[in-house]
Amino acid sequence: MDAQQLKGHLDLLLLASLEHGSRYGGQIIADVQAATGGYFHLREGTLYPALHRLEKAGWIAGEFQVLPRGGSPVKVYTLTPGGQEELKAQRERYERFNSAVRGIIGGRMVRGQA
Amino acid sequence: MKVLRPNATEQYIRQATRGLSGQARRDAQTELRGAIEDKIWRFTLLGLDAGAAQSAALRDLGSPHAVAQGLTRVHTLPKAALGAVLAGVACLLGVQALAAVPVVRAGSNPQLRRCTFDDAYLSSFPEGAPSSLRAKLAEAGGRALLEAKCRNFWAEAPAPANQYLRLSDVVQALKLAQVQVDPETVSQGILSLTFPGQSYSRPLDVSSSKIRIEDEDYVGVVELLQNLRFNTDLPLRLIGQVNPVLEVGPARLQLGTAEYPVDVINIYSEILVGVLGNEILNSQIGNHIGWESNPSAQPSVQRTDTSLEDGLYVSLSNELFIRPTEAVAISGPYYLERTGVMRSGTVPLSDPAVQIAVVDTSDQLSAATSQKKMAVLVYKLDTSDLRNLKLTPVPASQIKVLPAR
Repeated sequence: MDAQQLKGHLDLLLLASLEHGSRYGGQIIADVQAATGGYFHLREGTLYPALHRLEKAGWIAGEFQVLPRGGSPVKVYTLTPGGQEELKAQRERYERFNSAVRGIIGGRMVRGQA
Repeated sequence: MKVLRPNATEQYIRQATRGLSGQARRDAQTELRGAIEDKIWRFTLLGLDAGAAQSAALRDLGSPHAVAQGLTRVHTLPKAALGAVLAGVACLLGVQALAAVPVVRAGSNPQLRRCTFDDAYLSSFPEGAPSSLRAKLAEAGGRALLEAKCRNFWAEAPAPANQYLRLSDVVQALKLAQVQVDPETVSQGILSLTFPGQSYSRPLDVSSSKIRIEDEDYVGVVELLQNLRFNTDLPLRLIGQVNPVLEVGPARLQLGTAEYPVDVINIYSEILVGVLGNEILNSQIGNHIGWESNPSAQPSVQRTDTSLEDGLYVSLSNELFIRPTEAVAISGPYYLERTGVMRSGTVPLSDPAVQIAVVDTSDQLSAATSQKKMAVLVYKLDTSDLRNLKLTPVPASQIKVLPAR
């Protein structure tokens, strides 16, 4: 896993992981690992600063809750309306970037060549 | 059966939130506590007993100092109560106007060495400050004594690396090179730059590293360089060791001053953690690398082959696995990466007091760790192009570790 690759898309990844419901840190790590077949292995040292950053930006909101199994409370994050907008915008940017790259590596001819 | 050591988790949490204070610290500690418990619970689901699950969880989290760095960068710090104004600031500005290369002032994170035992500090303990601490502070002159002890401790500790650059100086230096800087996003820590001859601007987002030092915005030098390395195609070089000159396309910036010097060794050390992590395919090693600021300057490794040139070298050692320090015994060990300059054939790359064997590959390093043998792997570092840092392994036959003193 290229750490820099992940860093560039970490926000999008985290916002998307909250799209269908609230999650706490440990669940997000497990979800990301499962959904990417182990390709992205999120470390806590990367995850929590990123979640705090997204919370400061107002895109996610965190709240402490006690799980059914008991024990210390975990901080559960939810996507805010602003966060849903941001997810949409980032997804669009990512799709545009993706199709631009596909346009080149897909073998299309460069303008000006025969 | 091994039992849980509640202190091990709490100590980890305390160290991992060291850069924070007040409510931010309390919340981060509560969150980490829940996260660590959850991790331990998930390990027990895999069949580990409580004690083994706790060890595995803390080990997997990695260095608490790395976590603290990440968390500290995100949270805006309160005004640093440093008191003294930088001496000679006016003089510095005068020099800046005359110097050929604009100077960018540097500093270190003030939160790392706070010695103020006030109410804000006391309330940052999640379960309240220890009664022994409260008792000492209640004594006449107790607080002054504790703060003096604290300052003495930090006075003897290695100086913190000055890894933060004054944002306004960075902007000024770029403008002097005719780089356009969008003023609207600067205060957020986002530099939208248009270099001469180019029609578009590249946003460099270093906002996550923005901190306040004495009422001024500073940003992380490593974050800035990583952004430049990965988000631009400008030629990028660092020239010199102390207060190096950064060349970014046509722009030149001298990083650091005599008062708060920047050592390029600390910059490379921090960047190389990521580079080495990607290079080394053995994830046992790759995922557990850490560095120390301002390591010993005493030469400890010597070339036995004269074809090996002077210059920058990097070592990766397993000493913290074999002889853990107090802090490492709690958080779990990591492979210690050091960067050093070879001059006349010798370079400081290991603890001079320790006898350690040189190995050729990361697999040999990993094997040595399993056999509880001290071992070190050495690389030659090519920094002629910062966008393409090259690490070349040095065969063990070409170097030797000097006898321990």
